[in-house]
Amino acid sequence: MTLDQHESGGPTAWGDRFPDQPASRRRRLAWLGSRPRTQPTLGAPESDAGKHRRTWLVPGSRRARQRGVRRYPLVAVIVGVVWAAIMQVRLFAGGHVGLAGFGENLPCRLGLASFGNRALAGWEHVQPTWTSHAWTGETCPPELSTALLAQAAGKWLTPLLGYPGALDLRALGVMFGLLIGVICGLLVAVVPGRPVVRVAFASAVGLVYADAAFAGYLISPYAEPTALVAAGFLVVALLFLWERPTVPRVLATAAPALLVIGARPEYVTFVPVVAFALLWVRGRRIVALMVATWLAGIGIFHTVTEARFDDHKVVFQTILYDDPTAAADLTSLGLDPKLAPAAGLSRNSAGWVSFADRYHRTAHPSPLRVAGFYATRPWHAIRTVGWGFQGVAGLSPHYLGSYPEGAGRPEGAREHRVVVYSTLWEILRKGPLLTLVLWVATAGAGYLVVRRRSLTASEKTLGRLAVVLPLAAMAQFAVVILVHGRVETVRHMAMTSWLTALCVPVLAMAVTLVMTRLSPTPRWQHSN
Amino acid sequence: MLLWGRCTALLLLCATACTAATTTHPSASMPVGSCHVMSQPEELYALSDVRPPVPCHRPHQTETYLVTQLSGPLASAPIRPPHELLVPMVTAGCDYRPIRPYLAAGPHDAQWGVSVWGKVPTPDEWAAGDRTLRCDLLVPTTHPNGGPTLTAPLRGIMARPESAAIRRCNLEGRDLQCALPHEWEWVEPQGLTRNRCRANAAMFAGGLRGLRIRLGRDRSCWVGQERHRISVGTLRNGMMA
Repeated sequence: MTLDQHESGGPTAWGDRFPDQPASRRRRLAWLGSRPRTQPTLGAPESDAGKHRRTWLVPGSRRARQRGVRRYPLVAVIVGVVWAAIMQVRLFAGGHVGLAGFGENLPCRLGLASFGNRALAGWEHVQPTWTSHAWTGETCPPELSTALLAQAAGKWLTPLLGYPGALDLRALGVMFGLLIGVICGLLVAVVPGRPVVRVAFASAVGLVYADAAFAGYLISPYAEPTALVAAGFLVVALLFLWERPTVPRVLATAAPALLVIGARPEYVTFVPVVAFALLWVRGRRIVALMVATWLAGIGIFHTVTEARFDDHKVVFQTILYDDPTAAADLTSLGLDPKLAPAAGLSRNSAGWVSFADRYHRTAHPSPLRVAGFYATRPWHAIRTVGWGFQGVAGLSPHYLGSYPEGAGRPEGAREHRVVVYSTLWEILRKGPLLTLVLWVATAGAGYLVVRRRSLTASEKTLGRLAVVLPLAAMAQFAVVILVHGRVETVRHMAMTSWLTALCVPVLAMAVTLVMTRLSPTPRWQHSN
Repeated sequence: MLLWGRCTALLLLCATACTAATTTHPSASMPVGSCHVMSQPEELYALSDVRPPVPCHRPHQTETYLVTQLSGPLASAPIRPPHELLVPMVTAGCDYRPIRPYLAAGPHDAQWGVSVWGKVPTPDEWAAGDRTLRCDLLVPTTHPNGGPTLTAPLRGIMARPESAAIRRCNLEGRDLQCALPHEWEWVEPQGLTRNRCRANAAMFAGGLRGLRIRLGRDRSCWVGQERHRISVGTLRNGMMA
């Protein structure tokens, strides 16, 4: 894939695949200069001669030249600006769109309240304007999320952008749109390959954000947009780290990782995945271990203090849903079997009232016990995993409106301005298990890329990403189905779906890298 | 490891959430007749309310008509029981009988759209032994897109023109508050003959001069102005605008 890099130790130079390119002496030298002849140990100092040979041949920053990695800064800036503009147009042209914040009151921690239409339940329309409000007692739950940092920034931006209220979610949309542009630009700089390949990959990632399934979150009070944008920066930071692990790069990975992990308690699953990714380097492992430990501490603290395991959703609305052995399963979970007639009932249903007292007097299972239950009853595990895959395949929370009130759209209407991945997901909706296939294929292709000796260190970073992404998706998937069951699965799977969507361009890159280095003899030589 | 997490979380908390801090008022010291601002649905649905009461002539949403003590087996629990268990206890504890005397409702006055919302102590107050049950009245909204707001005390309101906010009227078959434009106003009780309705309406409005009556299909009694005039406010004797 990295067409501009010389393949050291291999039988042919990569540029040899293209008969027209090697004709240029200068270009040939440039490829040679883009990478040392022998694969250096990551983090090892390079010879002065090597540095001197490359610095005048390879475009990009001085440091990048010294490392033998091309950054294409101009292309990166252009792509970043273009994608920032695309996101603004996508969110605001023809009237802004977003995601209805049904039941979400996270900004109350900033002393804000949404004075929307009281006649509406909340799922119908986006209500962007939040005004200052003094909350007291338990009216504003003491939630702690890194999303509050983004919302505080949005609060600061709101008057600057001329929006009404103390916080206008459109200010968040502007901010997140610009940050997505930065992510796309940075991806051009860190992804291996020719400029066109880098631009294509960055644009594929930009399309994930722009897709109707995810773009709405950017103008919403949920914690998801902060996590999704931070996850984009995490991807960039990891690619940058794997390219050449240095202390600043390890530390730079911690910031987006912290933002993701702290956004919601469920994102604690990123702790082992990021720790694995941090430690998957040669050198700087002590620093990486320190950062991983720090992230683990924050993640565990955040989960312990913030997570509230609601066994009602998991037991009564998931395990017992349409369950012929409800009483026996309740006994297995340590609950009163007389609660079996309450199977499938939500807390809000009238029928639940008569069971409420008994439910609160019985023992309640911990997440570990529920996990143990699934481990010993494969039928239940398969059912719940199936609902989880349906949630990922659902991709877009179709029950939450995209348009503001007064936009002339019916209640709960969804926007479909960019639907590349949403359209692609039609395949997953027909066969939700294909999600698993996509994860396995991505991880497998990534493993092959990492193992292939003919690929450069820079190219292998993408292989590592292809391994880490499905791991993160699977870990997140497991926790969501364990904690939320089949209740509002699509929205709770937002991060899983985003990671899964990201697997598509990463898989394409990984497969291309593997396929292009299969043959030891260049194709153009065969034709001659 | 956890210490790191705790320090970072505290920093984050101070960086973002300190603005949410505000003064509180103990649940046990909310007197009957105190008025409360609950402009957000979350505040109305929350089990407790410790926001300081406001003067009743300032915009508010609820007013306390009864303060009592929770009793029963659940009340002896050291930890406050969950929402689902408290709701039946609150519903039983908030007796509806003091409502009409509190509103000063006469035999021909009917309050309409007034709902009862109970508030219990916060978890900390509960753990400290407080079992005060506060019963509030919430009036219906006069703003189709906004929350309910009242700027007068509900105590004795039926004897005042502001009672239009909680009286039942009708416009083109749609029930609404008498504080909104309407054609007919409801007169208690129902299930009457036409003559009886006429007599009650006359007592209600202090005479039927310029007024007419209507007997509904359910034998409900309505009084309205002649010539199908649309009015705002109540026709109750002495309160006409």
